[in-house]
Amino acid sequence: MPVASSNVPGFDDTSVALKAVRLIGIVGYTPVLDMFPLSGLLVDDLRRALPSEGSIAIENMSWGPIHIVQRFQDPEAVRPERLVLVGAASISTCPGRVRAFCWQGGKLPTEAVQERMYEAVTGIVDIENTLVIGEHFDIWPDECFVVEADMPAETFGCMVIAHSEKRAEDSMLARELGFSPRRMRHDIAVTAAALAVEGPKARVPLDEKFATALPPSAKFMRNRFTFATEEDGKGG
Amino acid sequence: MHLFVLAGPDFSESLVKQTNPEIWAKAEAKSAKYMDLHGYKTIGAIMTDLNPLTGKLYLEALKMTRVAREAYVLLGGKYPHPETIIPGGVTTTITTTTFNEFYLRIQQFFDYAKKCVGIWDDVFDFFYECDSRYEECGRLPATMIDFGQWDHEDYYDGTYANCNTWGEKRWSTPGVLVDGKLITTRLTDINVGLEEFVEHSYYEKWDDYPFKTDPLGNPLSPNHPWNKTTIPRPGSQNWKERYSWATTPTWDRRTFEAGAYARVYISALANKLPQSDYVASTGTSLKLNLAAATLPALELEWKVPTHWNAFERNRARAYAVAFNLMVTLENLVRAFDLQKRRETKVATPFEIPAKGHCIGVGFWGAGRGFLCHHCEIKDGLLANYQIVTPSTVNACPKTPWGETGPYEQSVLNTPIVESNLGDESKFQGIDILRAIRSFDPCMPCTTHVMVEGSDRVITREVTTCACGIE
Repeated sequence: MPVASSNVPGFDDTSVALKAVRLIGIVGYTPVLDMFPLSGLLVDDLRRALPSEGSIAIENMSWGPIHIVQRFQDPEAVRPERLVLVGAASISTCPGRVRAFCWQGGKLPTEAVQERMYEAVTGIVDIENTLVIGEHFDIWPDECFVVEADMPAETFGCMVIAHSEKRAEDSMLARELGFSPRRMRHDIAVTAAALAVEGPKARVPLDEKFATALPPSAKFMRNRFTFATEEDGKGG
Repeated sequence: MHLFVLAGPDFSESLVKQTNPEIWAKAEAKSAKYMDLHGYKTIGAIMTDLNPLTGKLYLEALKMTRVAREAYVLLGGKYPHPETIIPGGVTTTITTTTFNEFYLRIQQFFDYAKKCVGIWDDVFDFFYECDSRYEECGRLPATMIDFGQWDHEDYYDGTYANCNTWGEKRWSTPGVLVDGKLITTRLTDINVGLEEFVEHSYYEKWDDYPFKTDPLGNPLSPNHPWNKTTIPRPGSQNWKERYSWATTPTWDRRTFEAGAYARVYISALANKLPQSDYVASTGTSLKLNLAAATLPALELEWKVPTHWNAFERNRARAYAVAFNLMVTLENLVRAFDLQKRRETKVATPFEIPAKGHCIGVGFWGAGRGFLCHHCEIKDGLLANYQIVTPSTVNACPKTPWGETGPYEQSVLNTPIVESNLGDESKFQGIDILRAIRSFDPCMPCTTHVMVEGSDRVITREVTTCACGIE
């Protein structure tokens, strides 16, 4: 789904996305909350940071891993040679930090992939299940990068409340959240744009991310056994 | 999607071999009754192709969801959350090409719908035959509500005053079913009987009671969605007090369930479907006249089951594929006819009143069933907006009087038939999973998770509601 809303002229993502060989995909994009670091303002920042000839497309890739797989599998689609996936880190350890990874793929057991499918089918979309399901269906290009923004899980909710209470200025949010959303958005845009343009040669700290090193998804069910004693059975 | 990707793996070779090897052994030898519909000689062969990620049926379902989405996007512009819907209609420009493109997609479902019914009739009948305790898996009284769907162009006017008339002319009939008995098919009855309770949820009670009656003068409870205020109150989990972010919707103070299957069940009993060559209600069953494709034309009949459980939810869901399809075909034919008569209007002008205090309601269904939106508008601005989703209905905690919600009760009623029991690490809990998954949960509708033993709430990054996925 090409991202259409922008204040920056000069791009037509609808046509670019279909033939672009480099793509930035935002997982967790929201059009409803400007100060959220994955909003339309990020798209604007990215467009400013990217070369203006339009060879790099920006897409909202939040519509579910299965939809994304099918979009890449479309025989008429040009699969990008370089992909930068942008989203929120699944675990928050250092709020405000933006990290970049080179996706190394890796094979997971069927059960682990199906757990991610269960998540996807019941509507949970995050960067890790997108990566795992895409990897299973072999859709990712050789050059696949991940830019993760470390936001505590309550970030979006805090921002919604701040917005509704008219205290959504960056400085006020920074005090509440412990990091500046504007600064984070800037860091995401600079990092993602550098990777999209330069690939592995980009001058950004780059770690490796393997499927096998991802934390397992939460199990659908947990078991706790209580063994009945003979005494328990006497009451019928 | 639900049948093959979420519920299907629970009946697959790879899982059943682990949990009930004796059933797998029988399945390999058991002939399938409906081979002419699906092409599989044995139940074992079906179960092999239900295997997650690799099974042909699993992969085919993924492919078919794409075809359905393509059809949807032709009219909606985008899936999910279409961009073409406006108050009073849609903005889509329809041409003959649009209709033809749409037909090209849906005709791919003519055989697929027959295949779905054949497969699940075979699989569920086989499991019952293997062990009659499966009749108790996720068993509940057949108590469910649906608002119906798919308005009839000759009757629908969008007014609350006439909603009982146009509601009963829908292509799936609204209704309340209590323990298998159809209580009403009137939308106003369904609406005024609704309440939402928060005694066991992470919300505060509200004090306002602005609407004592609906616009027709029918009395409303202070707990009716039009009177509800959402006041979140996160806290630590306590199973005797508050333990869920879902509220407890009730009708006539009872919990009920919701799902695509409710459309089938209620339409079958109500016997009020408009005249059609493709769908007919008999009062005890629903007849579906499926068009020929590679397979010949076929009349399917869903009959009210003797017991209501996880297997019957999914069986009715398989028939719902055919029901949805044939209603779509009926309406496509009607649309062609309207177009021929040059009746191509797609919207009625509608202005939200700029002044005054109004309330409105949308009675509809998601892919997962029951869905209503209640809103209050003051001087042209939204003052309150309440949504009751199917996942809230099914996942709800106890009522203030201690009645359990559908998930809770269905799990309590489920016997463990899993035979390959070992220690905690070997136990799959497959029977419980079948019970829960038969409700088709949508996690974004209830995404908050409490960290055990703390006041901390965590959420996954959830970006879209999947209620439309079926």
